Amino acid sequence: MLAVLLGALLGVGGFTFQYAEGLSYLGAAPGVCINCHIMQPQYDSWQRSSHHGVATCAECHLPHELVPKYLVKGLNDYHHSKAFTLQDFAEPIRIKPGNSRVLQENCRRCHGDLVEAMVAGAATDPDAVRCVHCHAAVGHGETLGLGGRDRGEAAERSRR
Amino acid sequence: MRIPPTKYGAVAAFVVIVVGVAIAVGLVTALLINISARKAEAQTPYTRLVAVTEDDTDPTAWGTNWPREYDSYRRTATPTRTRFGGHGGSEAMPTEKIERDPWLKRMFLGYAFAIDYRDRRGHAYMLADQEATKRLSKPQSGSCLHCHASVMPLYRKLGDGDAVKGCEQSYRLSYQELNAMLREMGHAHPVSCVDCHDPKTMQVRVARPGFIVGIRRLAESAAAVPALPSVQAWREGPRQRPYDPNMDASRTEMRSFVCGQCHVEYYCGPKTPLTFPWGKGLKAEDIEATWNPTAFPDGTRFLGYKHAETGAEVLKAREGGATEDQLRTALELQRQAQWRLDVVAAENSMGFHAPQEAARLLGEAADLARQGQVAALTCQPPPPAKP
Repeated sequence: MLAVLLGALLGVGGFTFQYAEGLSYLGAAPGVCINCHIMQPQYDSWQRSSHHGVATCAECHLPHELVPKYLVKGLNDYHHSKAFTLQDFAEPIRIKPGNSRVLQENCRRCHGDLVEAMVAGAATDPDAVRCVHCHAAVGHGETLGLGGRDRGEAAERSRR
Repeated sequence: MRIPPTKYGAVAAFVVIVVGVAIAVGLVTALLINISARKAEAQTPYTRLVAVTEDDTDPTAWGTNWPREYDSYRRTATPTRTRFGGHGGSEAMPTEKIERDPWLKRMFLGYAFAIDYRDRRGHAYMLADQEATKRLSKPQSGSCLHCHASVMPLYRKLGDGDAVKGCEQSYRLSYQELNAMLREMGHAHPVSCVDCHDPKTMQVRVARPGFIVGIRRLAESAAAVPALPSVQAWREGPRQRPYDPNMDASRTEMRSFVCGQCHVEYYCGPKTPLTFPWGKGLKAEDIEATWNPTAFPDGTRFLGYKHAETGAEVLKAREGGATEDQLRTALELQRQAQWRLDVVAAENSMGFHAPQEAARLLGEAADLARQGQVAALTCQPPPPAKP
């Protein structure tokens, strides 16, 4: 009786794991991120972005050091699975502060030599302007027409 | 009969394990069904809440079914610019190009673009901007609506169901007349979802009669079409029916064709039906070769406009002794140079299209214009002979 029960658990569990493409989460292929369709717009817009040839989802959104990488990945995996299973999240989905810091770090990983003088405070100051505040389209495509949003010359000048 | 106390413990443990495993199996099954439901959602990315038809030109109806696509459509109202052009970031009308670059005004003298020629705004404004332009102070043909409104239902009405026929008649109506009909029918919207999407299947499709007739002429010509393999395939086939982009073209070609319904060179004046001049090919020289032997129905030579200033100079030069024959070369060269410059200006207001081809055409335009100047100078009367 017990053996039957445990076997059933193992069978259903194993099938569920395989059906949910559980093993794919051990890799870093961008296609894994659209195992859940909620990420489809993010995936589509990444394909249209200037960075799609040089950076994948994980390269921008996860730390590169071994332990922090799997820690952040594990936390994200947990939050995402819980939210998508229980459907208790608000759309449009948005990046959270912790992940935003990871992202900023990854901008600096490649572009640091060029921008270090500008963004030195960005790692510690929570109100610091992040790279993607202005360069919103580099990772997820041009959301506007040609040339990008025109904020108006007067507005640009007053901001200086 | 007495059960030993140890057996109570074993039974309890057994029950706990059974219940525990049962709950676990139940939860895993619930998760399995949940994943299955999420996967099923991915198979149906949209839900058709309202029916849309060929006559639904209002994009808000489509927006109910396809909210994300509608959101991005509405973003065409956002001001965008490059350092070469675009709209200046407010609800006011864009800057006058002819005031920023006065040479444009001089070049277009005799043409309505010398009256009002502004930077472009996004698709959302195409109809409003056309209705507001001061170019309408001159008589304008109904053909202009082909690319500034969701005009297909009106064409079908004019042509008794045949949009191509309806479009062919629309040049006879003034812009104001056709616009009033459009508004009366309730189709006064900028280019809309239905113009590029089949309302039944969402398939990308072309609808504009100008394009359909134009690309057919291109297919029937012998012009090289290295970028259009489906045209080549049609040419090599039995040719039992005309080339039809919606049947013959690949999806990749269609993604260019939908834009090509309007973002191309065409004639939309009041003397002949709207024409996409592709019967000899798509390059500037091919189109020039198409127009040059073309005559208007009244027998006069095909032209976009007659330049007001060089017209005046012709008279002045005549007084100086130059004949119309002598000036013909110079005016012909002006026509050729103007044509090349205009092809670049018209397709390139934001400064990004085909840089090599644009540079080639601009180089030719400068060369031809200079040749025209030389030709005009050599027309001057010889200096009076010295005694």
